[in-house]
Amino acid sequence: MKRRDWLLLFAAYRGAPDGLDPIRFQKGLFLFAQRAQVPARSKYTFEPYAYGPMSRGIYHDLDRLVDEGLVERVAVPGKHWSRYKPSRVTFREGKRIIKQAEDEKLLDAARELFQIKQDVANVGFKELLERVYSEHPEFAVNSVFRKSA
Amino acid sequence: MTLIAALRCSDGLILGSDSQETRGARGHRLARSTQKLYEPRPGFLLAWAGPQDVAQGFTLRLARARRLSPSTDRLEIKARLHEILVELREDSSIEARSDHVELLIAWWSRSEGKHVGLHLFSGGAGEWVVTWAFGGMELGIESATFASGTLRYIDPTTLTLEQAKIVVLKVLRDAIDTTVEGIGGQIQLGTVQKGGVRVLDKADVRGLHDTVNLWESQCAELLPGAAAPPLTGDTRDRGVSPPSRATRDRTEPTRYSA
Repeated sequence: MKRRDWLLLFAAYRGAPDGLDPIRFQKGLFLFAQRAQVPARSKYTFEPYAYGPMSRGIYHDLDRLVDEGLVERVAVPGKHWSRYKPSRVTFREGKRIIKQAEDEKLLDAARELFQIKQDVANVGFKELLERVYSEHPEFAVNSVFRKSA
Repeated sequence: MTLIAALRCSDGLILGSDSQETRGARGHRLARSTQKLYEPRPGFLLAWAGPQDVAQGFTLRLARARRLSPSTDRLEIKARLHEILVELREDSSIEARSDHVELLIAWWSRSEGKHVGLHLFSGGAGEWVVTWAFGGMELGIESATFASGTLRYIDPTTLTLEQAKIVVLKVLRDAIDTTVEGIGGQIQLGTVQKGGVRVLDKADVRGLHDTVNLWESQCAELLPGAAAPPLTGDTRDRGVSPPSRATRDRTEPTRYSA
């Protein structure tokens, strides 16, 4: 499986029907890269950035998924960011990816990704950052935010 | 029309600008995207506001100027830059040579061992950047001054370059949001510090936008009910369920190193 398959599955999973912001995609796929037993080529690479771990590849692939009609970019009123929202196509692709994960003996990783989505979608930004910084302080070294955890 | 900004912080200096170039009379204006911030010669960072042909003329002359480097005494650099502006105003091949132009120029002064910023006006004035400096369209400057004023509880001189970048980005985008016409487009940013000059690429600026988004979101979260996590929405969730525990991998999963 390619890393963008995991990104698309993350979008397709239950847990955020109105879509997720780019930060939660970044943090979710980072935790997946740290925890899941998948080949290195299936993981995004992250750098310690101003808001903790950040992967340029995720930004790039999210844009591609939008261009290909696999997720929708939805503007958030009053905010500067868009959410990436799943559609029927996303759900169909998500089911296909789970089947592929089964074929490649990666179902544990698929379950892990689901649990990570529930975790990142259920907390505020402050708590999310604190969890990530506390678990992986090496990725918080360039953070501009105070680490209170 | 343009909005350009400079901010000096503890260990560097940030220049920023909008990217919209507007042409035509009021009510019939056309906007297009243009680069307003670049490194015209090694060690110097430049942002411009005003007619593009004047800015291009200045940039070319600065790029070709002899014996000018960040090691040169800053008063001498200032005098040389003024000379270039005078040359421009006398160059009849530049159509808009008499129009008002503002430039923000920054470099790491090797002789002084610190970051230096200069706000130059085509009329001849020049001011050293102390903390904030804005140039360009009058309404944009007013908006940016107001936006920076709302952050007066933050002392820029104590900020690191990384922190100051997000402050500049926030001020520029707040100014663009509240200014009706004439400025806009993607924000361009560049930095000067001891290690040199850097113009940020689009991916970097995008990451910084998300950093500002996080900053603003955390402010909103301080007010109970102002920012609920995505899982708590009312929308019916048609998302994909995880593979059940009953679904087993066909063989023992391969172990991969993390």
